[in-house]
Amino acid sequence: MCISALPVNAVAWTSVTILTTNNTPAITEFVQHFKSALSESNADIKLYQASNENGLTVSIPQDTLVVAVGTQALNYASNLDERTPVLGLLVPKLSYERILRDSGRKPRDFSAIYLDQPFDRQISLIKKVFPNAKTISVILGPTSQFNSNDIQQAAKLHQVSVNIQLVEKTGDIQSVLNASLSDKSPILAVPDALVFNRETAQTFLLSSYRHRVPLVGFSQSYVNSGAIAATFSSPKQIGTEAAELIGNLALEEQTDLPAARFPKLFSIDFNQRVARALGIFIPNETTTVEAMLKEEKE
Amino acid sequence: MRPLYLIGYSALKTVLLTVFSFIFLMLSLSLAHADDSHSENLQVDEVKTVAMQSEADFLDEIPNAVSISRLDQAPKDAPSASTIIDREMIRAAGIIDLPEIFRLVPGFYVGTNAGFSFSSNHVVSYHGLSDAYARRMQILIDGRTVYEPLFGGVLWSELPIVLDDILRIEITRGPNAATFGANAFLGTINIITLNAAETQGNRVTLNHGNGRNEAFYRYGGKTENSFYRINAGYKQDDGLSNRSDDKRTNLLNFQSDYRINQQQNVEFQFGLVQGKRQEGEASLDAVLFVPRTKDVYNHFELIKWTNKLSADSEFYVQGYHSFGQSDDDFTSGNLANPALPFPLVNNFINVKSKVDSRRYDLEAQHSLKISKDFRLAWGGSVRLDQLRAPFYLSQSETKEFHLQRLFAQAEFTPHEKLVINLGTMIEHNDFTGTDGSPRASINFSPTPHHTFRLGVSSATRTPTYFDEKFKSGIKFPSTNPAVTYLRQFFSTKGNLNPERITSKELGYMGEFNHASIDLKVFSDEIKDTIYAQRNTAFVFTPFVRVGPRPISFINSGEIQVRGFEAQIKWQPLAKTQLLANYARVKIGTTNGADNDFKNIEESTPRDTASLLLNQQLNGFWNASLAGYYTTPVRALGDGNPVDTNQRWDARVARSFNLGKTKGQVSLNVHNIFDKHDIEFARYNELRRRAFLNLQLDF
Repeated sequence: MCISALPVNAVAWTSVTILTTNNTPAITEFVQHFKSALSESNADIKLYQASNENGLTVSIPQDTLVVAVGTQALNYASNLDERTPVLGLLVPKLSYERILRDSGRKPRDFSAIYLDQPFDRQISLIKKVFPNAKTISVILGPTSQFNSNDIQQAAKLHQVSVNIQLVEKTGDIQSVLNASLSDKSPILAVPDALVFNRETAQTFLLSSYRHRVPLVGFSQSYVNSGAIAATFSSPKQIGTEAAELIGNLALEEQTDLPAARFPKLFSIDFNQRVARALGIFIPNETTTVEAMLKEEKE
Repeated sequence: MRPLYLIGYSALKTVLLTVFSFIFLMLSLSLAHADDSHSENLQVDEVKTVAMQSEADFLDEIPNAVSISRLDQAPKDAPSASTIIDREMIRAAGIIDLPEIFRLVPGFYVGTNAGFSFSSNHVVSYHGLSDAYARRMQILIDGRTVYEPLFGGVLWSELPIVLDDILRIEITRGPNAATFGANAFLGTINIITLNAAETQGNRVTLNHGNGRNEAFYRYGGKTENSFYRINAGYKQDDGLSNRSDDKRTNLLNFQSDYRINQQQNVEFQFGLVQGKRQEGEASLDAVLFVPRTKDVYNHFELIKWTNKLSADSEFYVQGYHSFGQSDDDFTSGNLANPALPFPLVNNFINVKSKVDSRRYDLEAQHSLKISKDFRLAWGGSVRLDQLRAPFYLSQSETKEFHLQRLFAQAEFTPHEKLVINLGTMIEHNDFTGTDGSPRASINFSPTPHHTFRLGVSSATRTPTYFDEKFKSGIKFPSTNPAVTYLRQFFSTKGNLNPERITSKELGYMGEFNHASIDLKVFSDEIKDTIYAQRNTAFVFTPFVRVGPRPISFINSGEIQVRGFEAQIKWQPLAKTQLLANYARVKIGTTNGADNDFKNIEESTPRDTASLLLNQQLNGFWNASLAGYYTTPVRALGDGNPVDTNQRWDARVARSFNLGKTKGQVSLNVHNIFDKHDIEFARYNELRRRAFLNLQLDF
């Protein structure tokens, strides 16, 4: 698969190096799956693994595609020689965009498959569960406020209005949440370092449940903890999708990375207990995903 | 004659008027510069300091937040018909007194300041059978029963709760002793308040209007592992213009949630109300039940430890103590009566009636999911009521009443279209021994949005002290040492059996595109009805009887209550909501002890209807209209036949921002057409009243 006749700026790669910085169980599991998925692909790709868990400099082989797993790893990779192509995985869109901007690298050799879901997909799910919803409540914070336009556009597409509230500081979360809860519209949780994080998740989930307002989360953990539904891409799905992408790039001898994008493979999950207590009918999971995929193709 | 405590009233009124004028001025200034877009963008620089999102935000486990306890069933899965009133409805209805909200529940009857003896509070009854002290309903606030041990009713105006702290009220229309304990006989009102985390910050609430001035302050704060809130308030309530039903109450309450760890938390609540309440009714009794003012005081302390063992299993232990006191000390009107054979030694007598009651209650409950289709909740409780009411019970010692309960309820979902609820409560108490209250229901949903319910439920009502032990009377010495007159009000025979209700209902709940509908047809049979009757066997000797014979309670006759109830919620437009209720209730009686037993048949309006329309006008303005309709009714006890009543209430509210302060001001008008509605009794005339409400959050 050796590459000849290179364009001036693009660097050919002959191997893939998985770069991790913090080997959490989720990342370890992802790496395992990604490796096996890549080995199953038709392309004959040499695979290296580098970890900078101790914060020390890691050596990256020559002519390699760096697959940076996680935000921190991508941030680290952004400091590598700028001719090294980097593909970020398990990285939220906003983090990718910021790292890209800060590093001054070019999207064609610094790309990603985002971890988060397009708002179009998330609102589509909400409409599947709440076909009569006229409004969706969204609470944004300092980081997630930049999603505002994307959310509004997606909402327009699904003919639903969004009630966006902005939180400036932690102390305001509850009062903003109370205002959203009184509206009774389903709440779409959008990740934000200040608003929707591990610490505040419980407040949101408990309060919305107590007010009998359904909350749609952005990860499976949210569903497990009391969100009524969520659409998400599991690390396994991202691993499969990334392996396929890299395999194809290798086979097609493509040097430019495709533009960063949302994952194509995704799952949905429902919390039946919560749905039952809230008296909300949950549609069939498989047919819902099929309908969502069909919508996305259109 | 204005009682002494009214001094200071005009001062508060002036203060409130000044505050309102100031707010209106500020409001009009802020409106002039109103900017409809209230989103403010943060500076990009600020964002840079905020941590980036990482995969951990998506992939990390979140501690389980929601555990579903035994009561958490959607109405369509519940064993009985229910109505949920949320805080938005309470607000939209523009009420100022909590019991008013129950006019929006099908089959409920509310009598404003119904009684005049012992309590001049509202009466809330479901399907009738009530005098001024509804004794056949269970009322809970955050799992604590507020049912008075003496009369059985609820002293609504003295509940240590602020209207604005209510999250939701769940009303069970039908007996549900298996869930809510004894006295969940005709229905249950389960009030759930906001938790401390949901009430952070400062809030000031002011009400000013016809015969009403109120001021409340709430502060919610937090420490590392706990949230808390404190409320302090004062209420000046002049009641109805033609009644001696004034109330002045100071309120203080506190609630805190302490998180021990991810699984366990401890909740503590404290509440106190102290004040004065007028009662008596000159038009009925200008001599003995003279209009007067008495001191009232109550407080409670509650502690609840909850342990979420897993997402499917929760255990709690809750204990509370409550104390209530009323101190009635008055001098009668002129008792001189030329018809008496011997004049009285004293034509003005002093009556002292102090009532002290205490309740200790301990309850434990475990709810768990045994398998995918089987949930169980079981537990038990013990209660001790101590009551000292020398005037009413003719005994100066403190009486004790013990109650022990065991309960279990199971929910099976053998098929996705089927929910089977089974439950029972076994209770042992000092008055009636051991009773059982079983319950069963099948809810069938042929399609996800249409559910039919068939339910059978049985419950008992344990007699109260009023039914079982009342022996109040007044002796009047005459100038002849051998003659003492006796006016005996009550002389109960005791040994009552509990009343038993068996209720059958067929319900339908439908969800449509922008509407939901709840229908119920029911047939209830009550046996061993506890019924008031003159005690002809009472021996007055050696005293000389004055006035009618005393009242006693007996078990007598059967009551059949049948009818139909409908509840419709409709959201025709995104910002328009309509709630409409209707109930037709027909009471029949058989085998009554006397002809008066038939009066029970008129104790509920044949038809009741209510409506609440709410319109969000734009980001700031909100308007609502409420309508209430009841056909003629004659409540028991002091109730008189009253005619058809039709009343319309309206509310207009505007939210505003004054810098960091958020507020809302609203005008609430009750009975906008100023109809002369007689409610409950002829002495109770309701006219138009208007209230201005202001709420500030800062």
